[in-house]
Parts: sequence; structure tokens; C-alpha cells
Amino acid sequence: MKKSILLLPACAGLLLSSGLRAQPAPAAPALPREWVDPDTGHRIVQLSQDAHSESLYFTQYSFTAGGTKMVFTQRGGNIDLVTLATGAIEHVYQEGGARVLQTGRKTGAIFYTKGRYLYALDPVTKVSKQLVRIPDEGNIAAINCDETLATGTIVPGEASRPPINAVRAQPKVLASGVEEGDIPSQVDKHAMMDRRLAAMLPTTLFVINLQTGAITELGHWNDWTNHQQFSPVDPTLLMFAHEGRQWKVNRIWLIRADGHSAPMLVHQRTMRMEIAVHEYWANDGSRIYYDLQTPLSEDFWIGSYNVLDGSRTWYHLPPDHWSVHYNTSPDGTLFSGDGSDPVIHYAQAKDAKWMFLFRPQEIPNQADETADQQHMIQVDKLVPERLVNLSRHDYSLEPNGFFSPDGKWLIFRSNFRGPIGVYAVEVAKAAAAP
Amino acid sequence: MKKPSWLLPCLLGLSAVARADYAASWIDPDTGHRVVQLSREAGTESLYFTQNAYTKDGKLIVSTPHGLATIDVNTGVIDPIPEPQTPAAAPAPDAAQATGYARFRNRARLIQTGRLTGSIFYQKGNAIYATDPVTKATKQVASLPTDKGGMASVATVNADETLVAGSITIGEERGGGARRAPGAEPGAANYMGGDNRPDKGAMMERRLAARLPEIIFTVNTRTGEYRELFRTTDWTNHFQFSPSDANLLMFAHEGPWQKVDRIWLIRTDAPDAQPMLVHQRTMKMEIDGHEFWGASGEWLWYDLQTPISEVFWVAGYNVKSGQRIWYHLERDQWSVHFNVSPDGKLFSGDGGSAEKNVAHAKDGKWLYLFHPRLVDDKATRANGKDLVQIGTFDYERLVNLKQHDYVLEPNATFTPDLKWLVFRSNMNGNVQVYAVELAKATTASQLAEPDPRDRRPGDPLR
Repeated sequence: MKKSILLLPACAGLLLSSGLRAQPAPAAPALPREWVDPDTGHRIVQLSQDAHSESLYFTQYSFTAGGTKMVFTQRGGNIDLVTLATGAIEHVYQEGGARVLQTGRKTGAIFYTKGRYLYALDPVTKVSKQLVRIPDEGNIAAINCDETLATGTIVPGEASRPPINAVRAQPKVLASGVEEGDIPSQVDKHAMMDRRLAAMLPTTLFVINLQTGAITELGHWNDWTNHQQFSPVDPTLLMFAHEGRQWKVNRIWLIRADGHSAPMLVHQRTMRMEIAVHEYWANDGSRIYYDLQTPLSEDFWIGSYNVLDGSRTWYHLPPDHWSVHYNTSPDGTLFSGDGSDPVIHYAQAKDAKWMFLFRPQEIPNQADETADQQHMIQVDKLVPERLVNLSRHDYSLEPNGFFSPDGKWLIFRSNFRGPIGVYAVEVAKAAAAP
Repeated sequence: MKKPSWLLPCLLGLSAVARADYAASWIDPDTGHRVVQLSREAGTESLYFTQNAYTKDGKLIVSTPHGLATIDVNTGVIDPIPEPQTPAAAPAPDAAQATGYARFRNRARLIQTGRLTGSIFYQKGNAIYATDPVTKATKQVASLPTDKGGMASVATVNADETLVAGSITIGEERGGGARRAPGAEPGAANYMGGDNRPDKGAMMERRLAARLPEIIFTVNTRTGEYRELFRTTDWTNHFQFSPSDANLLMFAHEGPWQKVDRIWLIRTDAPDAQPMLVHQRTMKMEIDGHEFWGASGEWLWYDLQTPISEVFWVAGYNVKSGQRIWYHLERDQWSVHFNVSPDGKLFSGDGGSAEKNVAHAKDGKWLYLFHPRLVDDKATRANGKDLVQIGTFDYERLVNLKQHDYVLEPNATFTPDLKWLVFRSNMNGNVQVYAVELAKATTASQLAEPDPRDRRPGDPLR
């Protein structure tokens, strides 16, 4: 009865009849591009057409053209755009080797690095503009909201700088028949992280002016630093992480990107093995959200810190709903989770291979609003709903869910149909009859 | 109403002859643990879980409708403790007419057994008495002041029995201690327990809001010295001296737990000592309470919920080192009261019901034994000593309490010989004291052969 409004109003007809039904594959029947998950009752649409297409990491802003189009990447470092309302694909960059950072929140330009340079790609004209040279022994990780600054680190002696969005080589198909993702072995990754943390390499966090190329150093330390994310609304407010196994680090920090401010720790851990990780900004820049475990694998929250007034709200997750990445809808009312694998992940959540939707439910405060109470953490419960059955998904690829700008769809990447592809699931339940 | 009498009916003495002759004894089919009914008279209760209830030879003190008695948990022998005839006892008015303050004042109220001598300490009127559980000899050990504007109420005896501590509430007619709803008396035929009355929440709100002035005091049992530790308008309660440090006192700010910073420590030997808050809450609706000492006096433990009804812990604070350990529990294992074994290695829980208790557990009506396990602490420089150490509880069910009504709180305590967990229950239709064996009755013979001790509640006595 409810028809998809903003996204894909006519998608079913377009994709099903003109695309696949007209030319059925002789060997195997083609999979539908749109279907309703029988286990959840939510409509799923496959957005990518080519195999080995990936949506971005869950913190990377991916929308352009006023939120009507979304960036995703192709094998070899090429860039596609999908028009959310029609499913139309544009190959906007096919020269290869691009590492996409994000789209600009102001102009919608697609920012990527290639070689030693940062570029901005105009999604309309498909023209790339070279902006600045990346400092020697440095990288660039994020662009601020008015697209005047980029941020990165300079780490002399660091052999390789794995980017947050790798350029994928040839796909590897696992025994299960699905294409393997980036994280083939937790053991290898963990050993690498321990080595890198222990190396204590001298690090400079910097911003670079995209007009002048002038570099401002924000700080020097020996902590392993990455996951820089500018505020979506405040051009000089920068979040970054001290990387490493999460119980070994105080991870989430804020700094004013002016060259003479000190970093502020966002979450002070109070327990051994307490971890705070996978932080991200609220769409309106008012809050930072993060995966909080008190302690690891035992008690699960989405923590949040209000950067404007210092208040904190923690959202408690029911057991067996821990997800690798959470996200929050643009209006701040809904949360998503991309599930987890009981074997791969520490949480060992049973039956958590699902895309989840979470609705916060306030725990009413029955105490008097004394001065003490104003400094206390507000706690809400999260009430879960399943959106997509990911039982066939291999978590070597992290689904990385994020909401569409209209809040009606949750976009994710998955190998649950074999090759890695980009999908969207409707937040509202599908009508009973197809 | 029955005239209060400390003399138990002599039929209770019947069991004193036979070895291991319990009123009832059976193996809980759902847990495999042997349960014995220790008491014989309906309305008999074991003490509140924080009250030291064991004599030096390991006998249990219980409260019957007619007074105190000791029970040998290993034999089932019940021995009444007669009410001492004391010169300080007020002339008894017509007991049938006595209500409220008058009845309270005329009734001996058990405090605890002493940690040094095992003497049974109780308050009657304005005097504190100690009765030797073996000789039954009684002596007055302290007099409480009567000129402070309220009745002095003693709640705890220190480790070497030289100090008693309690409070005086100025302007309140009655002192603290046991409060019973009308009709909810252990002697009443329909008595099922008086812990969770429907009006308890409203009473607590009223009392907290009243902000009555209180004096927190000690009296020295050797010198008779009365000393005020501090005065406050917070509602204080649950005084518990350390079991090992004679001058360390724990107490609570009473009230709905989300409205108070509950658990405090104060030294009683330092002039101008200030109370120290044990647990600083950081969340709205975070609660902590039902605190208790570990037997060695090194750790104190409490029920912690972050927040209420959502995340459950048994939290510990080491009063010597400042170290903290929090043990995480699942909802079904949350218990009204936890306790810790004398050797500090095991914990117990008395469960909770979906309707009456805060955890709203669907399957929580069990008596539990908990085996603590520390979370693997992949220690590094960032996992400093000042961080809370986390653990979990592996749980073992001891008794199925599905027939128990949590209007009575089971209040489990470990026996000093570490063989039994003692609790009170109304699961068989009236209030009785039980013990469950910690060791499982696992051998084939124990399970297959009828044990001569087996006698279900209601079976005729032999």
C-alpha cells in the first residue's frame, strides 16, 4: 500500500521488466533487483549493477546533487553514481586508482586522492580538479564541511598507509560462493594493529588549506592516529581517533583545527577492557555517537556526547544485537546496525547476522532534577527490528549501513548474493502484497 | 493477639534428640541440590542477609513467632533462647492492646551475633543486651541516651564488640528496626512475609522528603561513652560495622535508590571524620544498594544497576586498596540480595520475581550460587589500576523458588562451614527457614535410592 516515495518510485518496474525479465540468463535465472525479505517484510533494492561495487565506509559522506545521488566505488578505483529515485547508474570516473574520501557537504564534489594529490571531481561535468599535493610521508583523510580544509597525518617511517577505502584488486571468491571482503583474517589484522600501536611512530596531525595549500599543524604525538572526521556543520571542529586494540587506547578525541588548541578526550573509560570505538557524527553535528562496551563483549551501548552542551546519552542494546557499525538517521530519531558474526567478532552475538533498525525508548527519570542529576548520563533502551537477513553474508566484508538523506532507506554493501554489491533496504515495512 | 513469649513450645524440642532430623528434606528435582527445612513452627524467619546470624560454633540464629532460637544446620536441632528477664525491661502493658511505639519498645529486637564472642546482641527499650547462646546468660552491655529528642536505635556491633552504632531520629515517634504492617505478624495464620508491602514505595518517598534531623552515634560497651559521629537530615539506615576493622562503619542514605547516593563509610575513631561516598553514580536512574561486607572486611559489595532494570552488577570496593571489581549478571540472575561466602570465593543470590522486583526477570525465581570469573584483562599501560576490574558470574541454580512469593525476601546467608546456604521462604504455604546444600547430590545412589532423610513438606514427622 505504501509506495516508495523518494527513492525508486518506479524502480520495480524499471529494473524488473525492462532489465532482467527481457533477457533472462540462459544458465541460471537472474536474481531480482528488488524483493521483499521474507524474514523481515522489508523491501530490498540492489543499487549497483556491476559486480564488485561497494558503498563507502559508514562514516564517509556519500551523497551529492542535493542528496538525490550517491557515490559508490568500482573495482580498480573507479567511481559510480546512482540516482536514488531511478536506480540509474553513471560512471563518473573511470581512470582508475582513485581512493574516495567523501563527497563535499557544500558543493557535492567527490573528493579523492590519487598518487600524491587530492582531487575534487565535479559529478555533473565529470571533470576532476587537482587541489593540493599531499605532504611527504603523509596522507589525507577527510574534508571539512565548507570544503576549505582537508586533514591528515604525517608519520615519518610508516611503511604503508592503508587508506580507509582500499582500491580493491582482483576479487576472491570464498568456498561459500561469496566474494571476500577486506578483512580476511582478524588474526592478521590484530597482530598488525598491535605492532603498529607498539611502534609509537612520531605523528603530526595537520590541516591543509585547499585554496592556498598552507599546512597548519594541530599536534604532535606518538599515538597512532586516524579516522579523522570533520563536523558536518562546524568547519574547524575535527574528531579523530587514537587507533589500536580498543582496550589499549583512549580512542575518541576532538580538536579545534586552528593550530593552537589541545585535543579533548570524548570518552573516559572507567573499566578495564572497556572500549569506545567506531565513532561518527550526528548529521546535524550536535553529537558524536560511538560503539561503547562496558566491558568488551559483555555490555553493549551506543554512547553519545553532545559537543554543544556536554551532555551524554547512552543507548543500551539488547543482547545479541551488537553490530560492527551503528549509524543514526538524519533526523536523529532512528539507529541502524549492520549485525555481526558470532565466530569472527568478539561480541559472539548469537543470531546477529541481520541489518537492524533500532528505536530509542527513554528510561524515565524518577529522580528529582537536582544539580547532580544534570551531570548524569541519560540512558535509553534500543528496541530492535530486523531489516535484512544476512545469514549468507560473509563478514570479511563489513556492511557499513548508513541512512539515505530522506531517512527512508538504509544503504549497505553485501556479498550475500555472491559478488559484492550495493543495496538499500526500506526502513518502513513493505506492503503485504507485492 | 498472642501474648509475646520467648519460651518455645516444648514440641520444638522433639527434634533435639535425633541426629540430622529435619522437618523435611528432599532433593530439588530441578537443581539436584538437597534442601532441608530447618524450622518447624510457621512464621519462623532467618535474619536479614547482612545481620551476622551465626554463633561461634556455627549455629544459626532464627526468629520464631515466640522469640529467638538457635538451629544446628547440620543436625536440625532447634534450641530456644529464652527471653532474658532484665531489670531494664519496661513493665509490660496489656500486650493485646499494645500497638506502635509501645509494642516496639517492649519487644526485644535482635541486632546480630557478635563477631568476637558469638553473643546474641539485641536492643530492648533503651538498653543493649548480649546473651551467651550456650549458657543463655544475659548481661546489659550499653545504655542508650534518652535525652536527645528521639529514640536511639542500635543496628550494628563492631568487630571486637566494643562499640554499637545506630541513629536517633529527632521528632519521629518510633525508632528504626523492624516495621510490620498491621496483620503482617509472623504469628498470624496467613503470614507469608512482610518485606514487600504494597505501600513500601510511598512510605520511602514520604520519609525521604521529611528530612528529619538525625544523630548518628556510637556507644562504647566498655566505658559507656556515647559519641556523636555526625548529625544529618539525610535518612540514614543499614549501619554495618566492618567484620574486621573495629572502627570502620558502613551506612546507607536510605530512600528510593535513584534519589540517593546510598553507600557511605566513616571511621569511628578519628575526630571530625567525614563520611566517604563508596559509589558515585554517573547515570540518571543508576542505582546501588543492598550493600554488605565480605567476611574478611577487605571488600564491601553491593547491587549496582546501570541503569535500573537494565544492566546488572554485583559491585565490589576494596576498603584497603580502593580497587573495584564489578561482576556482570544477566537479568534472570539478578537477585534481591546477594551474599558472599566466608572464604570470599562464592556468591549467592536469592532471585527475584517478575511482578515484585526491579529486574522483572521472566525466569528469576531461583536461589543461586555464583562462581565469579574475572574477564580476561588484556592488560596494558592503558588498563591502569584505577580502572574497574570486570568479571562475570557463572551461575548454578540451587532451589526452584517458583512457589515462593517475594512478599518475603529469602535473604540467603552462607553457613560458616561453607556447606549450606540458609534462606527463608513461604514456598510451602507458610514462612519457614531452609538450607540448601552447596554440593550437588550427584552420585547415582543419592539420586536413585530413596534417602532415609527424604521427607517432603507435609509428610508426617517420624
